[in-house]
Amino acid sequence: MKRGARTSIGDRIGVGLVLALGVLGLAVLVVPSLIVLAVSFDTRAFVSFPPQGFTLRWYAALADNAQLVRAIVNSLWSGLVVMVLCILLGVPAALASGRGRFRWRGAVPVIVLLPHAVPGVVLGVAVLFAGSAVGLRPSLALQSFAVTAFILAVLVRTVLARLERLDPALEEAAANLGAGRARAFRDITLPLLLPAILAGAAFTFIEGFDNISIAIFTHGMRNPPLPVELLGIVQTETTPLVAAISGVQILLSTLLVAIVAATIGLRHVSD
Amino acid sequence: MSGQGVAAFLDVAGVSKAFGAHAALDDCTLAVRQGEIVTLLGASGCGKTTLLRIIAGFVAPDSGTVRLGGQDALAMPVNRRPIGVVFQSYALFPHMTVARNVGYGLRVRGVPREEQRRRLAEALELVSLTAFADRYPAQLSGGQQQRVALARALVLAPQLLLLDEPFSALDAKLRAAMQSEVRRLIKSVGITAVFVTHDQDEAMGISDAIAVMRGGRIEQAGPPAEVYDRPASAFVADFVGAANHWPDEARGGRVTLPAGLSVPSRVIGRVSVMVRPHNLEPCPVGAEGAAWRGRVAFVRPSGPFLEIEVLVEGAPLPFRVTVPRAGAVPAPGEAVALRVRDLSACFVFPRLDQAAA
Repeated sequence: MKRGARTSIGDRIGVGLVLALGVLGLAVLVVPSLIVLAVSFDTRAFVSFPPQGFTLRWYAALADNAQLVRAIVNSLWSGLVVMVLCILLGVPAALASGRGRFRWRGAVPVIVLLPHAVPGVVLGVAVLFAGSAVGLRPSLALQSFAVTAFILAVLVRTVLARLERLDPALEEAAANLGAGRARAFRDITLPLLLPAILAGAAFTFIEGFDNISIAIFTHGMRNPPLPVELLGIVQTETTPLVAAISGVQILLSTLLVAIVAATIGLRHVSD
Repeated sequence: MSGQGVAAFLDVAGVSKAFGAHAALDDCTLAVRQGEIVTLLGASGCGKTTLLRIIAGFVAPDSGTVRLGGQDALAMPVNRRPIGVVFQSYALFPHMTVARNVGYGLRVRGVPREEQRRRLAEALELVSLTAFADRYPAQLSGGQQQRVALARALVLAPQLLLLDEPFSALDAKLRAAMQSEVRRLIKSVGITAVFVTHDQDEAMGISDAIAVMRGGRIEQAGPPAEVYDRPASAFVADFVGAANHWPDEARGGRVTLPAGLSVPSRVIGRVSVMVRPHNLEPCPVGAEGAAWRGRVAFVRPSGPFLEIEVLVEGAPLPFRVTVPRAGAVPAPGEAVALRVRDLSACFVFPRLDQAAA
């Protein structure tokens, strides 16, 4: 619709509604993070909004708290392991499902969703019991494996969705021009799947970092991840320290998304 | 198509392929001479694309042979066949520039750098896309994308070029322009080419020979004029150009049309006499030698011609008549008679249900 063009009242109301819903949606998504950020700079020693003054003391307190820093490092490790495992397992699974010739290839995206069929807490307890049955004690490794099983579906489905929209003729064209299967995958399929792999990987990293329902049962006793540590803190601590921790996490997430956006944005990918 | 004594360059013999219970190709045989442009023409599902994909190596046939320049093509892996393909979707690599798309085959085959540069420049020149070398496919028009696809295939100097519905993604006006452009290009390179299309006008316009396919077989193959003027079956007559159907009975090797006109027939019993629209001529009711009577349903200008639809008494479907746009134009509702211009250009086929459809 061109600016200045005649519009009916109905159109205007429609556009207004869409705009209002958009603003509302954005607000729901962004405002809580902004409030938390604002509170994290509050000079007062309790959580209140609107904040007063500006200080970095809660961030300093966080840096001084060895237990919390360790928890953040644990969570970073968990995020990294979950992400790498999801890429290593999920990309081949998506390729098998999308390009394979076997009979049950359509079952792959359903099978990876199965862990989502049970509540996360139940899954956590189940992994705890199953792990101890085979001699796996709660640990950062067990926690990472369990979260991987849970979140693998996101990567598989993201990559598969992209794969299904890729013209199969692209790979045939590469073969026709002389490329073997490996070469065609490297030159054509992989670069075109990369945005989906990166987007999926970002999600799995965040889940590995932030998951609590599974992690609370499966983490190593001396290696609690950040969400588990935080749960303990918010029960006793009322200072903006918790907000500062959230501030760090918001910063990390934003950074991650920015990296993905920049990487994808630099590619001339047409759909 | 291969004439007597001329060895076929592309020789497809007895090729069959089934997908599950569906026979896509049924003992299909095709011969193409060197330098010839042949079009596989047929409705969707007739097997034409499967045949193209078997020749290219994307699909393996269940039985039969494909020989190219005397060599067994089926023995060559898909990425070693000297065959270029222009895909229906063009299948340009979206993350590569025009130059990298066209140069991809040269890089994969390890052609020396200097030669790569030279051949790439030649190929871009050939399709007049030198100025667009650094564009991405998404930044090109449909016609330009098609030329990139063509250059990408031709830069490797294949022995055979396969084109799968290459014009279907273009709008009508551009399609006509690209058809003659592509034909000129292919002829200038001198490469043997096989097109696949469902569009009979396209097949007529671009090919040295047409192979009309139905049900996984080639129903008739030959030069466009021959297929049009001497169709081997009611299906071909119907598929290649328009045809009017007159149901009748053949006795003693002849069909006797109204007004005592007689057409020779190789079959007896229930037949369909088929007459091309341009082989009919409207004339006043009661005129001598007029085989049919009817009423004009509507009149439609079509370029330099008029297309007249006549509801003929006794015919299951209206007749289409094409006349030059000169002289008296019959008006809708008017009673007319129809005369056959050339009785020898009428075809008689056994009557099939689908022949009347």
